[in-house]
Amino acid sequence: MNIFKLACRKVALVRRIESSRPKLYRMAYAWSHDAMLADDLVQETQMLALQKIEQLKDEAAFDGWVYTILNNVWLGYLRKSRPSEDIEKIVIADNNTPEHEMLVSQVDLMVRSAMTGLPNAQRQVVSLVDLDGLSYSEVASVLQIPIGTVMSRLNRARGALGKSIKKNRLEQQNKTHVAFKAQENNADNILRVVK
Amino acid sequence: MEFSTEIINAYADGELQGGEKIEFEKALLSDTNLQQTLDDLYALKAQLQHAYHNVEPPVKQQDSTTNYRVAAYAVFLLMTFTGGWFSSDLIHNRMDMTDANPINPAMQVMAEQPGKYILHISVNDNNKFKQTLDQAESLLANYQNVDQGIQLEIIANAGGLDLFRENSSPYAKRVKALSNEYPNIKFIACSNAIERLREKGIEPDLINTVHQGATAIDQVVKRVHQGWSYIKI
Repeated sequence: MNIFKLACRKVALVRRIESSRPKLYRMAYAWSHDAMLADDLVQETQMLALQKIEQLKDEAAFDGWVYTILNNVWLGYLRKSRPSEDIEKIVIADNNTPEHEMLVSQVDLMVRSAMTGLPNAQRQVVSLVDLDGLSYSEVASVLQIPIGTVMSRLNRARGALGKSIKKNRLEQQNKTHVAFKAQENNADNILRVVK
Repeated sequence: MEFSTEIINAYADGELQGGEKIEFEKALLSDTNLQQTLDDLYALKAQLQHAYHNVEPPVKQQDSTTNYRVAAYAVFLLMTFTGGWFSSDLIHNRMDMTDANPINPAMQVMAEQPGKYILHISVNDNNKFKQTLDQAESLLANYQNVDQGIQLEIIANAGGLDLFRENSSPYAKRVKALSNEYPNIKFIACSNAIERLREKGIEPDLINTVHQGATAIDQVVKRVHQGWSYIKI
């Protein structure tokens, strides 16, 4: 490769690292459910990517490469912040604030809540496959696990998500039903007083 | 024919190929339970995508300048590669001949601009703090006889910010002394890290010679674009 092409390639890669922030952030958020932490994880990932830019030989593998760095940063964070726990099994807090709830639909909240209840290993696999459409072999490479493990974790994750969302939906319907009944009773009482 | 849920997942994810895929699609035509399971799966995938589709990173003020910076970097690289490459190489060779040069090449990124370094510290670790300042002093010493001199920035974010905090840094006096002695060294605190502390109700109490700048990532990207060497401690 001549010098001009080499320079252009480097500029393009720096640009690609910089523009990968939104997708990295979305993934980091899906793994951590913590906006500030996700921002820090992405910042660290982008810096490491810049540092290791010469290691990326095949540009077609860019997504897998940056997600691998993000995964290493995330696991490093978990090891440091929760040293006594099994990283694969770590579940995360459901950090929905009232502000969040105003901005995100009920269904989305249910799905996100279900995601927080998944063990970390499953949450990572399902996020990579469903949020960014990575192939099983790419996920296996990012997380450094066999494809069979990707398939079994994905299977367990989707099974658990389906059950959790269904349960949350039923609870929500019951709450709505109770609230509706209470309103009906109030209306009846007011009518009786008026009469 | 019964299919395992792993196989149904694989079909939904476009992972089934050849004979397996044909067999699955054949069964799908007549098996209503399989159709229902697959529909549920597609619905779940869609729900997941929707649940995170509007998750966006915090807005950065510097975003609008990205195109300009990349373009400037491209022009710079062209100039470096066509005109300044060999002189740059010579200076680096001079540096490499001294045993005192402590830079591990594996930790460096891009050194198109000789004598311009950005050091980055992101962890609260006294050994790393010391290593950062040792590295800075060593670079300053190495370049004192080089014509163009050196420009050095040390940027701290996350736990690394403590190096620049008056009451948390074990090296506060050394940071001040370096700032006073060398006008070509600049200490920069990441604006995100400062904001994080303030959100926790903690005042960052930065050493008075430390600058409050952009976010660490923006500053590093900007300098890398400009051809500075990036060294992560």
